[in-house]
Amino acid sequence: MILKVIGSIMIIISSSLYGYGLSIRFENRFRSIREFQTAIKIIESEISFLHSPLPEAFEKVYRGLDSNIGEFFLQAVNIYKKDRYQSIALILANLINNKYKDSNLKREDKDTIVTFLSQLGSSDIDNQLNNINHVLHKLKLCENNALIEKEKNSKLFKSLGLLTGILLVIILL
Amino acid sequence: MIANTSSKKISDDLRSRDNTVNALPEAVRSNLYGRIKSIISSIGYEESVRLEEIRMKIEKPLMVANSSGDYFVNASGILTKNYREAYIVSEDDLTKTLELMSDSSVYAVQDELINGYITIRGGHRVGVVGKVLLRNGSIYNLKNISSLNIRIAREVIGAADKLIEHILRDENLQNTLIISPPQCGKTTILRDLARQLSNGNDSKGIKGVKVGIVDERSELAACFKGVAQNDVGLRTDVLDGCPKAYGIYMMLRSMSPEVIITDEIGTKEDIMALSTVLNAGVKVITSVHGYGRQDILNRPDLRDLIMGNLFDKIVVLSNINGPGTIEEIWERNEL
Repeated sequence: MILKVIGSIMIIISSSLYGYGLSIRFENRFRSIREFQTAIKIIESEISFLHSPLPEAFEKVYRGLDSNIGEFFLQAVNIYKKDRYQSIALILANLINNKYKDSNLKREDKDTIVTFLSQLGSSDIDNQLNNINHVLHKLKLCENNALIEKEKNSKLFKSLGLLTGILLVIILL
Repeated sequence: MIANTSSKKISDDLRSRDNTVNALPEAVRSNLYGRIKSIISSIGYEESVRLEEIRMKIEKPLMVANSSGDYFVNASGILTKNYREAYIVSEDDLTKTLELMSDSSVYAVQDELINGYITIRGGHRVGVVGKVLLRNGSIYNLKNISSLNIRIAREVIGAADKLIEHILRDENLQNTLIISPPQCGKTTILRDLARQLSNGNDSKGIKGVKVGIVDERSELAACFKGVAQNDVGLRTDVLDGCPKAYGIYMMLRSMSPEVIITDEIGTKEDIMALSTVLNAGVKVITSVHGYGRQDILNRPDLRDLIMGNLFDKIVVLSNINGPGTIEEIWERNEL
């Protein structure tokens, strides 16, 4: 009997954790999009007010963001310092292309950011600021979409995890 | 050694030499892209130590220049007078080199580009030309960049040794104007003057003074990210990238310098600002482009500058015996 109770509890905990894991992805996507927006706003002020080159701006982003999004920027700076033949914005785009799933971004979010990075640094200030305004607008749309999905699915997956566990226990008993 | 390409034997000799040593500053080489970098790095020590300019034009031969003239460079890094042997610079070579110089951030050098040059680490100045874009009658940007001229800056410690004894009278500094054509070392001499006046030198009777450099074109101190790349002395403050007419006032108000040093004055505003400084009891050392007394007297603004008795000493430079040759020195009462 004790074994059955322990087993049941373990099943319910496992399925609940699985459901929580699925639900947290929606929250992480939302948070990652907002962090990218913050990062781009830091870059905007570095470009607009200080005319800082991108390696400097990226380091400011790393210092300003306490998350794995900031780590992307730091990694790009470190790679660029070893090989300056590649544009640092393209280095960052490659990193995001390869690792965007870690941040729970969707392909459309990633594509928006990578397209922005392909233009970053290659033209004058007016064009850079236009590019930044454009990407911030698109990321806002992604953020709204992520918020709707988060609100819709986050609780759903948490509840589904718990209920699936209870259902499994009932069936097995 | 320079190749005269009419002689195959000489060219063969040159190809067999040791090209492993290259005296170009790392800051220059690290800002050259791919093929250009390997070619320029292949130039042997003897030639590279004398290089003054590296010239790149899209679809034109790669060139370098030193005090004895200009040369084409072939794909092995050998200098030649035959343009047919030269490496032809591609658009990619030039645009990628410019990207490297701007740290992948063209916008960050936009202000410098519209002045026609950018300054890279080490104080080397890169002249840039292309299609100029105008907005409201002013230069707004430069696009389709077609030529780069990398001018290799070399500090010459002691370059002002000969001049400094002429501009000191009883340990007092004289207001001095240096007249010089391009490539005759006036910037190098001004920089060394700043260093010597700022540091002081008991053996020459120079006590260290507070020096303010207004470095409109980042040539004197060659600041990179705010840090002077050249030794301009312990007591020297540098106002970098600021138009001289404003910078002279700012320096006067903010740092209470005893001497203000600036390069290549020319506009009426510059001259007005200098007059204010002189009235405030601050000494001035500056330079102007020119080819001697008669040339200056034929140019209305500059004639006024000299005849206005602003300067105690006027020094004319040439490169007859190498850059920095002092041609003549006039006192105020000899004008």
